[in-house]
Amino acid sequence: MGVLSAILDAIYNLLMAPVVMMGLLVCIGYILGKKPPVKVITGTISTMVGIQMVIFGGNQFSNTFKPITTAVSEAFGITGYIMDPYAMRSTTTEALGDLFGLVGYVYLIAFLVNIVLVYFGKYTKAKGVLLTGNSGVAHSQAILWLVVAYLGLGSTASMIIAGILVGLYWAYSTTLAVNVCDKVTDGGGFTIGHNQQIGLWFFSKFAGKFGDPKKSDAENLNLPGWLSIFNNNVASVAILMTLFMGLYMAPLGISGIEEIGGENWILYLITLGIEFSMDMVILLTGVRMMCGELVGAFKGIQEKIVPNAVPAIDVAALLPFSPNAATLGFVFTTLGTVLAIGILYLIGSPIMVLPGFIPLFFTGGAVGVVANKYGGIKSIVICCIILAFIQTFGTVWAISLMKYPSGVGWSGMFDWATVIPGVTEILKLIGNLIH
Amino acid sequence: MKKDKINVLFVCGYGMGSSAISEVVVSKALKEINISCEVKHTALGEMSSYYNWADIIAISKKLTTGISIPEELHMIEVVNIMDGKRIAAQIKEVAEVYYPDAVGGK
Repeated sequence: MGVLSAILDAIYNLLMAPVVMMGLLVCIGYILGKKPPVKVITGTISTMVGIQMVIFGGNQFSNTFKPITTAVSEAFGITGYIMDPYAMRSTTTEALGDLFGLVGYVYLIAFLVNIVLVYFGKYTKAKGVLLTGNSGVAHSQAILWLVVAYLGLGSTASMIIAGILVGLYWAYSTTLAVNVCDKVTDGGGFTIGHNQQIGLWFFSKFAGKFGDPKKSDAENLNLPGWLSIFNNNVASVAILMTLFMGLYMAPLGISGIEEIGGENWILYLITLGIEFSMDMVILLTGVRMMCGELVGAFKGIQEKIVPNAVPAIDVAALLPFSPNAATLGFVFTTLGTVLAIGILYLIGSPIMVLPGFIPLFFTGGAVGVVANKYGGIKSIVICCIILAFIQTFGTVWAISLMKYPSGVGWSGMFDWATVIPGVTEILKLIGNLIH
Repeated sequence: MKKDKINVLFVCGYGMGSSAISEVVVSKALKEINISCEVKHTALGEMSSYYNWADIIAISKKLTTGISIPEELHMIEVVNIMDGKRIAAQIKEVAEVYYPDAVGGK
């Protein structure tokens, strides 16, 4: 008996390991999709390697960042967090631990809820179906963690509640953005399903009040060519992280920075930027291997069941419709974020945020495009500075609610700095009521 | 060199969102007009590691300033990444001139 229960125990533990659990899910998906056996095996293993890489990349992110925040926090009582979707991924992967294996199921439930809501769109008013697999996984794991942390229910109940919440977010946030995307793309036939679609809708409501898009279209400007450096993800993460880490560590003084780094401070800050960029490339590669075929599979399901749905895709789709406005949006969101961080310093906030590249480029850029379409250049400047303040202060709010103080950070994107912390407050209330 | 299959690389900012979905809609459209190809997607910062593989690079118009690619590759600028038919037509134009064996299907 002892041997048998030991074997059963071992099998159970193996099945509960996140990598195996998600791998199995993908494997079943391939078998149901009638893929040839070679594809079933190679696809499943690639996915599992991808998941392992995401976990590894997340830890690596932590290892790069943690010694620094510890030093700054010991010296000044201020704890620093990174505001970037990849920081949230790292935080919630760590926080979930073994429960991470449930993320795939949360995703499936959410997709199902999204499809059902759109299927009955006549009654529910939902139109958008989220196809952005990489973001979808991040949403699923973050909401699963918040549900687990605040409601304290069993894993099945948590999984279902999280799936429903994520599905509702997908269906309605993407539907809100349908009109603004139509206007920006002149009927391009898609909406945004990413992390800032509610923000796009929000800004479209008043971006037209600040100017005339016909008289001051950003596309008539000649922007300096060097700004295109920031189009390159590998370079821009390194440059921005060197700058922001330098600013963040500045209160320690040169000697303090050299004490942590163990080498010349300039060299150390540059190396740090490069290290962050490497962490990001590891995470990106992992996510790509993990979600590689997700988009195609879910696009197929959407076309079969709800062919008239509006596909909700990555926000980058908006940027080529107005490249200059996107660049200006990034520049002014970055400036506004530096201002907002200055205010956090001045009022002595115990939580300090360091902006990653994604909230600045992919929310800032997209809001720039929207603002330009509705109100021209002046509108870009005003809307992006407002955006920077909302994202920065909202992320401080979200971090105070993330229930995992040792995490590296939280997504700094508009929806995750406004609506999601709002929902988290409700979860917290309900959690207090049932306990 | 005869080439009856072209390799198309989709490039976006992070190489996972818009390039991935574009790859899906464009491959479908390419199949409809009988162009045989293989597709992959990546991020701008990692694009150079695919130069040996790719024949045609389809890249978001937001990202085209200041980049240079090897002479033997062909670049296509994309505005609406969901417009599979239009992008497929752009690819066909290039293919007809440089890779005629990949057009028409066999």
